Amino acid sequence: MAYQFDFTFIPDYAGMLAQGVAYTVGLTVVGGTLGIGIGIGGAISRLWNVRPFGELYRYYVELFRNTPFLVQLFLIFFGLPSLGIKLEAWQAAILAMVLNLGAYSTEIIRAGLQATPRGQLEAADSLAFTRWQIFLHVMLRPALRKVWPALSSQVVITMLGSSVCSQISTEELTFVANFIQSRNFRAFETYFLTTGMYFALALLIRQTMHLIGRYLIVRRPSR
Amino acid sequence: MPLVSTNRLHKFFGKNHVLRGIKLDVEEGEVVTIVGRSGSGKSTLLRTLNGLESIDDGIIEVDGAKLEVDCADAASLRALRLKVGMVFQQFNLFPHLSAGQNVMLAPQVVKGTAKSETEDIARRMLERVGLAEKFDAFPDQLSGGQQQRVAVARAIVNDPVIILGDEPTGNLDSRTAEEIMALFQDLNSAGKTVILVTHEQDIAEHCKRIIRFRDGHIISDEKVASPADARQILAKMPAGDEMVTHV
Ligand SMILES: Nc1ncnc2c1ncn2[C@@H]1O[C@H](COP(=O)(O)OP(=O)(O)OP(=O)(O)O)[C@@H](O)[C@H]1O
Ligand SMILES: [Mg+2]
Repeated sequence: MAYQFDFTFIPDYAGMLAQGVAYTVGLTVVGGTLGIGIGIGGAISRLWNVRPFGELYRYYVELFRNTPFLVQLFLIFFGLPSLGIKLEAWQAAILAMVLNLGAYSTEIIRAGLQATPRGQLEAADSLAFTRWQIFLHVMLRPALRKVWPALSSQVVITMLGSSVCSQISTEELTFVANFIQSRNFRAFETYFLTTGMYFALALLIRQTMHLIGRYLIVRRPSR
Repeated sequence: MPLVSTNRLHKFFGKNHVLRGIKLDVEEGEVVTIVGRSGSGKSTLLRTLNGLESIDDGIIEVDGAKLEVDCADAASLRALRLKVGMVFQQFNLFPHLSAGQNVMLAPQVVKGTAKSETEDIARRMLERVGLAEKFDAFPDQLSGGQQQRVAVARAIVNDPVIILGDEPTGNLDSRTAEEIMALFQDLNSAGKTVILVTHEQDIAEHCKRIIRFRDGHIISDEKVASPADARQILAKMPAGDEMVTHV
């Protein structure tokens, strides 16, 4: 007997699904922004070995790039309360995403900064720029431009990884999908729909990152 | 008092003794060129003059800004670099900034001049090197000669007393090289002291003084009786549009 597809549940749960999407997008926007911010700080601290941050960042990056995201999330949500730090699920989710993306983007952005041609650094030196002025005005923008595609992919990976946050009852898209599936027992249809929604979200985020890159980083007149 | 003066200048790269006790005085208004074999230490000497290379012994003084071995702190480096503009063989413009922004950045960042004011300054500087109309062009939209002129504008924007050039014409064809030499000569007429490193004899002949370098020593130091005039040479050269500069 052939399986009968049934997508008629969608209208009933449209509101919930929309909320799940909004939650996922929210996590990604906040996590992405702060994560890249941490990455920029980490990249320059590592590159110049700014004390004590350079060393701290080194351990942090290694730790977060070599352990599973789910375990990081559990450590923050279930582990930290033992130390007296009790976070809401959404707070734990954002913190885990920020720390995870921060670690990856530190290494991505560092590679971009390292690729600054020596001649440009010398030109800036010869103009009496300080180290921070060189970083801010000479290195940062071309470096971000170079690594922006890699950084965009990492943000997408982070967004997809946020589905794991359903495990601590963060009410993002996967949590909503699990909930719907437990009600209608339409596992295939529910997750098929969810897959499509994640795919669309990923494309949307890539496109948004592309536009941000264009506007913020390239910024050149059209002549 | 000479404008630039170095004494007992020594520099090592590992065991390689590259500068071996350089004593060099340059007076205000001179155009000096340093020539010599590849690897003789010409670039290294030039680069020590604005602290791009640290020194292992000796003293450098440019218009009162002093750099000694044991007190090359950030403040004295900055003081020295504000006196010295530098032009490179590879131009080294900032690729993400337009020609105008390349010139504006230094006064904005280093001197804290307001943006509106630096824009006026940058326009004047670009006009001075004959590139007023390229204010909004990006480095990759400019020819080598144009990029080098922007680089000169950038190097003089904070009004240094001296301009250093490490083979500034090394990447340019002979006519364009001549135009850049005309620019240096114009700047010299306007009061800037110039020190250039070059491989090419005909470029060296534009200078008022030729210093020969070998194995980290100065082996000769001569005045040139009548330096070649770049504008006259340009006038005799075929083809190419006449360059307009206003110094
Ligand atoms: N950053 C560096 N590290 C190690 N050795 C260096 C460095 N820069 C220069 N040297 C060495 O110092 C010596 C002098 O180099 P320098 O670049 O001053 O020569 P130059 O006279 O400018 O040569 P060229 O005409 O080829 O430009 C060379 O032996 C070179 O290998
Ligand atoms: Mg050289």
